[in-house]
Amino acid sequence: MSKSGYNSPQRRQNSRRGIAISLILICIVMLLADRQQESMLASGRLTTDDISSKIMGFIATPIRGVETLFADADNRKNAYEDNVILKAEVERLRGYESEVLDLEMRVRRFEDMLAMGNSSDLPDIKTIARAVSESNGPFVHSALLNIGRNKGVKTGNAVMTTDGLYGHIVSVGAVSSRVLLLNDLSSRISVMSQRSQARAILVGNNTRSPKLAYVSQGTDWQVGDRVVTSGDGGVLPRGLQIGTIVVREDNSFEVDLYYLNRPVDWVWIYPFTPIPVPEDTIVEGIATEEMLAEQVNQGENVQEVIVPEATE
Amino acid sequence: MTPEKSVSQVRSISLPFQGLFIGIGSVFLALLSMDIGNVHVGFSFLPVVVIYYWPRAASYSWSLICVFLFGLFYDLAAASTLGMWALAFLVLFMVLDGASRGRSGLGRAIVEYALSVLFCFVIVLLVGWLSLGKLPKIGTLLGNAAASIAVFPVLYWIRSMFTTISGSSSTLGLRE
Repeated sequence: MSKSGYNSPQRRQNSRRGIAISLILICIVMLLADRQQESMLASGRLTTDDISSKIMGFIATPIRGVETLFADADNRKNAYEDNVILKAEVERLRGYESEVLDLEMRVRRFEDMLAMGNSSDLPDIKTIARAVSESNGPFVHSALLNIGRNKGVKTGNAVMTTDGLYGHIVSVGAVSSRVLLLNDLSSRISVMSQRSQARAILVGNNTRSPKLAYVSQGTDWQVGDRVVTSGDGGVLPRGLQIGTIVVREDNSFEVDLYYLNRPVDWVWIYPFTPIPVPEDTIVEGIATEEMLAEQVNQGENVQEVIVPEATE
Repeated sequence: MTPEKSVSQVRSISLPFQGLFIGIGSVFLALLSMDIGNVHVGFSFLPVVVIYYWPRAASYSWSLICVFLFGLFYDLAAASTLGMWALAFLVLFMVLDGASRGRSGLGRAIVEYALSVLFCFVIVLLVGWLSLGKLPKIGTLLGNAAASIAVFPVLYWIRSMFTTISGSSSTLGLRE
C-alpha cells in the first residue's frame, strides 16, 4: 500500500474517472456555449474547413461522378417527354422574345435619360468555385467551397448554381468557405414573388422545401409563382431566382428550390457588397434640430451633422 | 522498469493516437454524402466504427483524450453543434470499455455495431434536440444510421484483410 493510503490501481482508476468527468464537463460547456451562439473555436472551425476542403475535393470526385451517373440516367429516361415539353415551350416563348428585347431597349433608354445606370443589383463579376462537400444532416445544411479569402470571398456573398440560389457564405477561411444552404434551420432570406412583388421571408426548416414566413394577409401569392430575392435589407442582391411556390395541406406556402433539381458541383459567388447600415452616432445628410437635440441629450457622440437652415 | 514494460507503455500511449488518426480519416468518409434522385444518402454514424474497434491495449486515459479530440474534430468538420459528437463518442467509449466481446463473426459484429450506432443515435438526437430547441428530422438521422450500418460489412472485411496481412489482431492491440 502506498503512503497516501491508495494502491496504484486505485489511483489510476481515480485519475481515469477525473479525466472522463472533466472531458464530459468540457463537452457540456461547449454545447451550452454553442447554444448561446458564442463563436467558440471559430478559428478552429476555419482551419478544419481549410483542411477538409483540400481532402474532400480529392475524395469527393468519384462520389460526384456516381451522382452525375444517376442524374444522367434519369435525364435519359425522360429525354423524349422533356423534348416534347421543351419544343412546346420554345414555340410559346418565341413570341415573347421580341417583346422582351424591345422592353429591354426601352428600359435602358429610360435609365440613360434618368441617369440611373444599371438598375439591376446583380454584379457583373462572378467567382467560380467547387462545392467539395455538402452536409445535409438532420441538424445542419451547409456546403464547403474550395475557395476563400484567396479569391476575395466575403461573408454574406450569395452563392448560385446554374439553377438558382444555393445559399450565402457564413464563414471564410484562407482557402475555403462555408455556405449556409437555403433549407438550413437558421437560414432567413428576404424574398418576393416575381409576378406580384409580394414580400415574405424564406425560412429554412431542414427539409427540401423551406417555408414562407411573415406573409401579410391580402398579399398576392399563388401556386407556381417564381420566388426571387427581394434585396430588402441590402444583404443579398435583388432578383436571384430561388424556386417556385407550392401550397401545403395547412394552406402554408413552401418553396420548391431550383438548386435541388440536380447534384451540385460547380457554383459561382457574387461578390456583392451589402448596403452599409447607417451608424446611429453619425448622421449623414440632413437632420432636424430636434433629432440633434435628442441625441445630444442622450449623451451620444454626434459627428458631421448637417442641420438645415430654417426656411420659411 | 524493464525494457519490455517500457516498450509496452510506449505502445499503449501510441495506440490511442493511431485510433485518433484513423478516426480523423473516417470523418472525411462520413462527410461524403450522395444524392441519388431525391434520396439523400449520408454516413454520419460511420466514425462509430472507430470507437467500436478502438485498440484494446491502448492507455485508457490517453484514449479518453484522443476520443474527445476525435469527436471535437468531427464537430468542427461537420459544422455541427460543438461538443455533440465529442460527448456521444466519449460516452460510447466508456460504455463499450470492459464489455467482454469474444472473437466475433460478422453477424455478431454487425449486431454490436448496430447497437453502438443506436446508442449514439439516441445521444445525438437528445443533444441535438436540446441544442436546436427543436426535434431534428428523425427520418434523416435514421437514414444516416441505416446507411452507416449497411457499409459495416465492407469495413469488417477491410479490417479482416488488414489483420490477416499484418499478423494477429492481438499484436496490433485491436479488439477481437
